[in-house]
Amino acid sequence: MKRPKLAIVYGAICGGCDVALVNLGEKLTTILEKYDIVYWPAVVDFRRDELKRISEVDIGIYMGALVSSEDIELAKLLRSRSKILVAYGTCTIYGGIPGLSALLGAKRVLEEVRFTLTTSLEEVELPKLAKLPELLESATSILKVVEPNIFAPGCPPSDSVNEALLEVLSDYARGIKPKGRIFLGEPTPLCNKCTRKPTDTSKISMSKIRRLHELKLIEDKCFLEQGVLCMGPVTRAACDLPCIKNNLPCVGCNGPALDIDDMGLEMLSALSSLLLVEEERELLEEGLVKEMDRLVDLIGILYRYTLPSSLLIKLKLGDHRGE
Amino acid sequence: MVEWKPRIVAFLCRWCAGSAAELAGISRLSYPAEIIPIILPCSGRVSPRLIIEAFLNGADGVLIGGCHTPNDCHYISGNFKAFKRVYLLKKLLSQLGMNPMRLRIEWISATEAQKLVRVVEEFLNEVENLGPLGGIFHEKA
Repeated sequence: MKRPKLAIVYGAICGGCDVALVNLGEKLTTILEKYDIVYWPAVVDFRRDELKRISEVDIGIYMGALVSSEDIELAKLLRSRSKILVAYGTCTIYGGIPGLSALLGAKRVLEEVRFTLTTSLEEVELPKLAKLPELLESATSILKVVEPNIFAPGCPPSDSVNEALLEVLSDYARGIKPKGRIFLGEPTPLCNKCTRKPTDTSKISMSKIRRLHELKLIEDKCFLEQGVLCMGPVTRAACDLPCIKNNLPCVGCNGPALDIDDMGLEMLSALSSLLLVEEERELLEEGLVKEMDRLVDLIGILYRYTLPSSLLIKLKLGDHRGE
Repeated sequence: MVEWKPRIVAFLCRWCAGSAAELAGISRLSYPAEIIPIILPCSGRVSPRLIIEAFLNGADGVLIGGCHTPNDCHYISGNFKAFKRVYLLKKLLSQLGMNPMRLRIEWISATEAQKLVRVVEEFLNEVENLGPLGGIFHEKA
């Protein structure tokens, strides 16, 4: 029998996604035995031209963010070759950490990189000599370029998401094809799964804003109630709660939960309803402002992983006016 | 080139600022036509998303009108919620590089039609000085 073909392609990747997938160990190898790996820079030695030459791949996995014209070409190439395209990792689906560069724009990003103290002059001249791919104004979501079939969110995708992906791979090898748009992992907000329950689930109130080093955390109590900002209410619960279990608040790396498209605005709205609700009458506007000014870098908190797919970035890039 | 006029969307609460707008009408006070008032049950109902969508759909400024703090809100604390939303959103927008002056929140009671007119005129003036959002001019077809 002919074995199905698998291709794994990198965009702007830090390597974490690859490690997360390989971490599955034996489970991965038993499934990959059923596949022909035609392209995977970390594993097999094939050039990009060879990917172009292959007429059809069964499963194509795209990892990493789309930050340059080359990444976009690559995503399009992979889409045209693969029957099933998997968007793997938050960077691919939402823009991820590289997406924060949208705040600076391509020109300033390049300047920052080229003219730091650690960069020597020869390196500055390099782009003129070599023909490098063009850096996009903002990292972008794969959804703005092509339509994937399967989404595996997470930074990096958790074991449960990876196992769900393996299941899809093993089903495919047996002839069962996935249908429609599939989001792997739990779709509900993280709070549903969280073990740190608030004292009163119907009413959480944040009586202060504190950073982690400023207080002694009570280990089984809700972060928000203790004054620590946690993205749990809007984040997809596609992970196994590694942060929560290790006494750290959620940072939103799985992207927005089901039916939320802009997690930052949604969280901002939720935050306003939780923050200082008991004290607002005494504090009045001035007191509220004083406490809210403790939140520095709101974009970094609310949009750490999803800036390029937010409504906000449309305002920034000015591509919103149809008239 | 047709002269550019700013467009302002105003979300007014039904009980205070919205009533003030009606009173302004009854009292035959005139205020600029560049403002598009939208009456909602409560200013606390204005989600940040509504404000961003207004900007995305061509507003150059967004005004939110609610009841005076601390005790005027018909729903007890909606105005405080609105205040927190707007303040945090202003912070967010200025980090993004937009002038936070394009977003304004005012407490206007049902009897303060004069204040509504003053605020609208003032705000319109401010936004006019800031120029169009995104540097694209509205031209009549």
